[in-house]
Amino acid sequence: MSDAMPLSCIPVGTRGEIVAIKGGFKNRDRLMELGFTKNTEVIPLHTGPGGNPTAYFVRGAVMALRNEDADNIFIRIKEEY
Amino acid sequence: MGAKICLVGNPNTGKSTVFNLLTGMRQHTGNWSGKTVGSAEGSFVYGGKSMDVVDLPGIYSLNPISEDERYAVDFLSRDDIDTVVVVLDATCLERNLILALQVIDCAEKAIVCVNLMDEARRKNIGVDLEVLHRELGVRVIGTSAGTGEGIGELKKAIYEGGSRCVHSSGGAAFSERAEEIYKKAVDYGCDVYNCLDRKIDRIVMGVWGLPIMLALLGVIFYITVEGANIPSAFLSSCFAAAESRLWELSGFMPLFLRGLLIRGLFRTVGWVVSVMLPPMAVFFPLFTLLEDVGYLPRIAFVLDRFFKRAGAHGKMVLTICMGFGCNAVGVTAARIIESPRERLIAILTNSFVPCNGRFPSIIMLAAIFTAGAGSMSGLGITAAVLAAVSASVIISLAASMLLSRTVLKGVPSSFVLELPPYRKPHILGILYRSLVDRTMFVFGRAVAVAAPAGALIWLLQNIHIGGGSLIFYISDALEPLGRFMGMDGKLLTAFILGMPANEIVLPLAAMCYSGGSYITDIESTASFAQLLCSNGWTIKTAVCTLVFTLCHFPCTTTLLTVKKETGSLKWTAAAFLLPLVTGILLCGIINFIF
Ligand SMILES: Nc1nc2c(ncn2[C@@H]2O[C@H](COP(=O)(O)OP(=O)(O)OP(=O)(O)O)[C@@H](O)[C@H]2O)c(=O)[nH]1
Ligand SMILES: [Mg+2]
Repeated sequence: MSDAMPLSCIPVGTRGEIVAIKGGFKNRDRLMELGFTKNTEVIPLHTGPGGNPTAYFVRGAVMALRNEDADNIFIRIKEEY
Repeated sequence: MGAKICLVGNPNTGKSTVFNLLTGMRQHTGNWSGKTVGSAEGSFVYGGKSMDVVDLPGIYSLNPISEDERYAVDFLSRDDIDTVVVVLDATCLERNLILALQVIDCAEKAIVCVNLMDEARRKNIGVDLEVLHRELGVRVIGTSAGTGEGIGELKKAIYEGGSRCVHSSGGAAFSERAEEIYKKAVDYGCDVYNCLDRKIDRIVMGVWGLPIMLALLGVIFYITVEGANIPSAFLSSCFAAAESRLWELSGFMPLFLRGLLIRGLFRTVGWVVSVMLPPMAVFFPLFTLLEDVGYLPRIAFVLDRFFKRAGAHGKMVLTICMGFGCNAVGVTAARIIESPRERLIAILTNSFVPCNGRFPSIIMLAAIFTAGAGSMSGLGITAAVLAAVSASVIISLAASMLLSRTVLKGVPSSFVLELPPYRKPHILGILYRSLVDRTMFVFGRAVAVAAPAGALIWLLQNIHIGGGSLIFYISDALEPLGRFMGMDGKLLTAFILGMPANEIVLPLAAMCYSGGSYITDIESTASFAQLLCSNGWTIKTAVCTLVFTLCHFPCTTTLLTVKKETGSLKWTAAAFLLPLVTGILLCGIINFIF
């Protein structure tokens, strides 16, 4: 799992796959209920003015996360989109 | 007693739209997650059987973290529900199925309604309802609530009753099972990265996001300013004609009663309806248009950095947007904010943003100082209104920052903001809802509140004790404070009497100024402005009144809502004092400097 990195670090326009979710229990459960589960594909779509927050495509929906929160999700880059 | 059915599902899947179609009611819908925060009940008859339907707030899971979700989940655990209808978004089944499995598992009987089928077809997403039915073990109906497709079938299914099916248990198992079913039933042919929605998003939420937002609001304000003049002038002349006709007809009454009813009550109602109502009736549908297209969460996205810095929740933008319609609604909408601390901040600062009822006052005050600057053009007024509204949001942010550094200390909590797809607004539906439902509501309230207030102010003007009228004593007592704030005692009296509804404040002020005299005809916003100017108003008076219009005690309805939402007298008092003290200080400073 050496190539895993925080979600906020992966560039827009790549496909990633979730390898782990950190953070407190409550936070983690919530992210999973929102569709951020292990092995799920995530695509960063675009960032807001100033680089924060970022919109991600996950499980059919577009979800925006502040980078601080996205750092709890670890991703492995699969390919360029 | 009919069967009881409730609608659940992820936010923004069209539950309220399905509910409206089933019951023929007009529950509010909007293209963003969190529109519904309470329940609505209705019923329909099918095959001679009456069925009660309940619309609930959207939920992401059965473990609620915000008030609106808690409400829905609590409701689901009631034991008098016969069938649960799970409403799913056909374009987002991969996630929606997680909740569907959870609900089907614990519900007595369930039916699945896959809504937004039209959108799925358009996006080239194939959904195999047969496979879904086989995998989920309950009836699956495809619908497009926007067009009404499949509703007959849904009614029939509800009539026949849902079925019970138990799948598995365990949190992670649900999401894996959801993915399994999704892969079998859905053929996802949409290029998520390059579709039109994303292209629009990259423009409206990129570096130009803020200017685009201001431009959009500017256009809406401009249409409101210009568009309201026509009905306003028409209504004013009608009311003026009616007033003089009534005056003639009522010749048999005692003069005192004639004055009370016609110069007091009727005239105030006339002013509220002809001057205040038209801008409200134009602005509201335009803003609803933005809501229906799906732009509101985008505003939240663009403005998020400011809210983060203020220690506030990113979804506060959504409660502010609802506050533009009505502050009481904005306060209730704060249920979508999960953290109690940030929810309180959103509740306490909501009345800084001008609700629909204060909006006409802002236009009028803006008209006064653009008139002072030499022009009365719609563009000038629009610029001033835009500045005032921006200022209100900035003040609201500053107050949030103050609160989160002092009494409500804490760091911003994490949150996820769902960005809905752009949708074609239902223009006719919006027009109907805002012109028929809302304008009638505002009209009713104007009559209910303005009539007694108008009568009261006339009495205060015409009952004399000692040397002066009652209003003279009251406004005289308030005069020092009014002067300190760059206004006068009469204006403050109007603000206090206008507490039940903000839209009557300026008409009451005009009543005070005109002294119940027989001369004034109010033809439009412009002539209303002239009346104020001829009463010693300067640009400074207009600026101070504008600031105080933005920052003063919330209306009674809003205060009652704060009490209901927080359950605390202490916080209700805070919601009263925070904007009031801010307003007094700001006006004092402006008055001191200029
Ligand atoms: N094209 C299309 N749009 C739909 C359909 N159903 C609902 N909508 C639109 O989707 C948006 C959301 O609908 P709502 O009924 O407010 O959704 P909700 O599930 O009640 O949302 P919350 O109360 O926030 O949970 C609205 O703008 C509707 O007009 C549909 O079948 N097709
Ligand atoms: Mg709803």
